Amino acid sequence: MSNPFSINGGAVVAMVGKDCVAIGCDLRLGMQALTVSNNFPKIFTYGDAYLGLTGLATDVTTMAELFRYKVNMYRLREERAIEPETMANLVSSSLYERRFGPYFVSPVIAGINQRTGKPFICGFDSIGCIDFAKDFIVSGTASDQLFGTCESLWEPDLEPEDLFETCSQALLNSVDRDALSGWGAHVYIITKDKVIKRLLKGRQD
Amino acid sequence: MEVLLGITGKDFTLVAASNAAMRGVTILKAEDDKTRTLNSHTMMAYSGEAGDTVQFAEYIQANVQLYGMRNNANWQLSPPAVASFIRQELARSLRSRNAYHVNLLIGGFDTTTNKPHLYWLDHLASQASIPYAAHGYAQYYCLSILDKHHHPGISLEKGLELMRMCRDELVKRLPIDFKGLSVKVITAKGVQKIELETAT
Amino acid sequence: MSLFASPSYPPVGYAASAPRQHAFNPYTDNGGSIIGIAGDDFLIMAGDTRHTSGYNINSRTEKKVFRLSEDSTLVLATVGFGADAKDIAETMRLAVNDFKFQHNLKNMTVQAAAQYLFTVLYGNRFFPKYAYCILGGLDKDGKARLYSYDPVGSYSKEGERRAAAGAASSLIVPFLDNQVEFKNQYVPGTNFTVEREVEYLPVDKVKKLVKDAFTSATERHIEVGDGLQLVTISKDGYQEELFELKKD
Repeated sequence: MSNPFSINGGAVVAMVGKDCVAIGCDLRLGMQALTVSNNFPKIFTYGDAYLGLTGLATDVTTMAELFRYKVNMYRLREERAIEPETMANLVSSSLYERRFGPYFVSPVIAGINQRTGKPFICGFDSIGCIDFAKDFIVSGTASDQLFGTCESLWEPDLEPEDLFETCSQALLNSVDRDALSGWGAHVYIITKDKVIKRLLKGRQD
Repeated sequence: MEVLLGITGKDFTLVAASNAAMRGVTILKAEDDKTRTLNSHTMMAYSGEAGDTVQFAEYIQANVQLYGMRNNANWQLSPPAVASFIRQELARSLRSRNAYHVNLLIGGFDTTTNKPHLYWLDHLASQASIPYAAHGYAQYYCLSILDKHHHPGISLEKGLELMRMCRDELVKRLPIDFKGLSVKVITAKGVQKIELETAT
Repeated sequence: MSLFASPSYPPVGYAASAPRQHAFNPYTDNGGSIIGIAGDDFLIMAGDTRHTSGYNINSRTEKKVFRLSEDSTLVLATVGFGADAKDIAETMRLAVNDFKFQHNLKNMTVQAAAQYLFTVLYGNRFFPKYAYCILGGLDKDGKARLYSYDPVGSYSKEGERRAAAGAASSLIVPFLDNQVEFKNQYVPGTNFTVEREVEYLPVDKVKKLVKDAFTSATERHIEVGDGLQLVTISKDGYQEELFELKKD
């Protein structure tokens, strides 16, 4: 109850497919058992990198805005968009800067490197330890459920539309078994030359 | 048992706050104003720790007005900008040794897009932009009423009717008299006080 | 966790000034998971065979699914505190056996066994047996029936189509929601207005789902693994299979 990671609730999942990645989040914002908003997306875009943030809502917003600032400064300095791998190291070092007073978030990054064309996903703990995964990354209050659904539904080299379905089903069925997540979802399906964002209605309870 | 309520409609935002200043079970004052007008088209209502509330609200009010004076009269902070500024200040204070314990509703009307705005912020600086909002016990009583009756395109009359429904429910259910609601409306014309006719 | 890895007295403190209290923790969580899925005329009950205390593995071959008698279709799967789980299984086995000789060699129906299991569990209401139970069997018409219980006996008389309990239930349940009850699935072309109808699955499909669920749970949960005991109950009787799961 007083665990900062489970006051507001929320879930994020990212998956790798064949030359594509998918990232999805739920839309709930709550205070303990009370739902305050059903339109609180947890995925933020930074050029080619997509950042999902679960945890304490205030830190989700703070981090999203901090990275908007940092990525904009990067783009002005470098005159190019930030690569997902670079973004991962930026997130990691920004979190570790607060090693002894952390932001209570569990970030997830998904994206396709426009230079190499390689899909990339990774996750972090709240102090910036990177989890490079070849398959999928989960985070949030429904992470146990997401581990179960992703581990059983996911398979290698899924085409974009199949990856979208796998990711959506994993997310939807997981948040339905978590009281603190749900109320709709956003799913991004990212290929080298196209990004599709879909709004999933999901159960409204 | 402080009550804060906010409702948006087609061309307005309503923000209401209870009139009672309470300390424990004692009512210290029956005509307490828990709102501050920030600029011509934004206002905020606040509840929380006594002392923190007014201190924080006036700090915000002063800074938003300072921005207004430093800039052209036609270049004022929009409601989303005001809300972001307030959230940032509250989030900054959260990581300090003495954080402000303040819950807020920020109401506004964007005259450039002609859209109403309502922001909900709690004392942890969690921010949400929502069509109707409440703080404190009012959440448990009023959000369900608004879930059922609210639509994004409602008229001011309907908005006031919803406000009355919420007020009447609170009067019926809350154990302590909160001394009625002060209601303010923000439209294209600015911030105005509105009298909510007394319960029948 | 490791402090309570086994039923134990708390460690003795050395501080002379602090008052010491005697306490005995009678429970342990021995990990593992179980699943039950009802088909139309068959039933699958499964459990992994790992038995843990904290980070230790006590056994890789400890079964969690118990046949309650040689000549009935009753099967009980239990998970939680191993000792309590076994005790419940033994109590049920004895009761089913007793019933037969008290009732002119007639076997206990699955409904009766379900109600009796409630009595056993609720009988320990104020010193509960720390075990989650899934009870299954075929009724007099040969239809599969499945019941699941919390440690104090709460269960639904209507029964369930599928149940999961234990350490990895939070991983397995949403998967089963999706694949057995077709949750969040819609009929193609209906624009998400018509939900896919729930139907009984064939036995080979159910076995595949159970194996998938356990390999996934093994992959992501440290208390699940080693072996999979998979029991099938049908008109052909009781059939038990053992499969390997990862041992790391």
